[in-house]
Amino acid sequence: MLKNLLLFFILSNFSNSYAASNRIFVSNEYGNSVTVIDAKSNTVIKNISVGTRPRGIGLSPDKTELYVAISVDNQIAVIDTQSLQIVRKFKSGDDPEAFAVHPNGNLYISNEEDAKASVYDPKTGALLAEIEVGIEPEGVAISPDGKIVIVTSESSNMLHLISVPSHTILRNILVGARPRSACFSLDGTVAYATSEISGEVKKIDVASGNILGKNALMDSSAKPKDILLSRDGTQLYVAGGRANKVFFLDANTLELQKSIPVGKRVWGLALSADGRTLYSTDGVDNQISVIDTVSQTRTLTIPVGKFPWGIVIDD
Amino acid sequence: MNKALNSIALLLGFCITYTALAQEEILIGYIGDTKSEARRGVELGLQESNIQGKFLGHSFRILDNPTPLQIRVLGNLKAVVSKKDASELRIFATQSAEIPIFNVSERSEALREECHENLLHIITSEAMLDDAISQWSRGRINNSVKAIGWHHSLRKYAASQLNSRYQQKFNEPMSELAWAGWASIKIISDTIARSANSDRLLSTIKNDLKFDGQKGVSMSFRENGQLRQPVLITQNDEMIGEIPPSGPNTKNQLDSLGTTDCYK
Repeated sequence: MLKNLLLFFILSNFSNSYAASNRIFVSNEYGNSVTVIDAKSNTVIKNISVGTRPRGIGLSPDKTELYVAISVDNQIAVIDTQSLQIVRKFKSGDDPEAFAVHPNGNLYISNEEDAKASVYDPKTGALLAEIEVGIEPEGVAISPDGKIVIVTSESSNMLHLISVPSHTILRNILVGARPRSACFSLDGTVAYATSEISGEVKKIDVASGNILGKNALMDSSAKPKDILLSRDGTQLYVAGGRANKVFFLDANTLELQKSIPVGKRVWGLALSADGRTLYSTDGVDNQISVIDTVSQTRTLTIPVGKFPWGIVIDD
Repeated sequence: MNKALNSIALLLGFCITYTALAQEEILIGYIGDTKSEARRGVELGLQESNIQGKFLGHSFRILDNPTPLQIRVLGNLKAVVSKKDASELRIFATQSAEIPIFNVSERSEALREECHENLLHIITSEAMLDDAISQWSRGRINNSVKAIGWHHSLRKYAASQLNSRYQQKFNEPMSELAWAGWASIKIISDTIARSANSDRLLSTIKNDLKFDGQKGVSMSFRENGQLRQPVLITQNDEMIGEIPPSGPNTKNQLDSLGTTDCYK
């Protein structure tokens, strides 16, 4: 009882000192900007010019800083989530595309033209490690315990499982053509990955590397990109690319449960902390779609900059 | 006695383990002009396949202009990439019937209609290019456009990454022949990486392929051996469109280009 009380105080203290900004951040690949949206009113607050070809986007563990990969400038821009000012930029290796933020605060970045993944400390901009991977690395996912990082290499059709902190490759797993994104199950024992050209989602046993199942997305036009797990771990949300749909799959069987029409060329996905609201970036329509995950319907679209790519929410 | 058996068992175990760990070198033959852009495309494909192979325990090597005897007897020679014309390809296909042969330069429609079991045409055919021009011209004023299977100004679908890898390595733009050479090696190596039994390479490639040629669609082979793929439309050496047009139905329209039938 006392222990619980203590935990309660610690947790409430944390939430007091790091009050969520309730903002949605969208990188606009050809708008060279980040659009900031108020998550409560769904209105655009600001467009921040960030540099040429912003793609990957992510928040620091304490949510005070937003990181944006500026692919052409070979930099990561750091934005204060309260003031919405760019506070610094640091060099990130060639052509940074996507990245994930480790619970310890470090950034795991895929360097598309270099066939490398690199690890940076965003506070100092120091390069901590470089890991050779396959050609055109893109998606980065980090296991819930922080011990394994997955990097997908699009042109080598592989997932690379990288051990943290040794940064050695544990396993290389062949998947369908052009793997773009991956995520972990809540307990970290299973990974899911999308393959854009073969149009499928694969379910992988992390310990053995065995493929546990696959789902060819039924819709022959589906070119899946982002993949996210629901907060309760039972559903997968998949951005269908040129199918212009978001797919809801059963995380266990990979069965298709629902296809939700959104805008054109849907790539990026973000999920609210309570799991109720899913956001997608509809690249060709220069908008994001807002989806209610309970009623499984799109409730709203919000215009953003040109070719929205990545999306993240601080709530 | 027991001791001796144990030693043999140990030795056997060692041999099996050693074989499993050793990188199996796979040979791919190339026949044709070794100074051609097709051969340079093969070289880029080889480099990329060996990056993938490094992670999976495969390595690949090109054997230039192997003799017919070498093709028959070298057990680790799994496929041949050819930059030869139709008459030579016909002879070659018959002589080496058990091995997949990748045609990277000959556009003859007749050769496709003959449906040689082991000929795989990576380069687009004459009829595919003609059909693409006529589909493009529908409802448009004829404006001196060209059709081609690959172009250095294609940027979408990560084509810009492939074009820049080729440009950086050879200091020249990637042509369709170079692309076909690259694609052949990638198809061979990716299929071998996925197959437990590389002896079934030809049937696996013909029946189960989902190839990423960095042109935005999943590529597979027609029964006549032609690789299904979109055709690019250019004007003044710049890309202005794709046939079929990029969209939800691209995949289903790929067979509207060129012939699909066999006239044996």
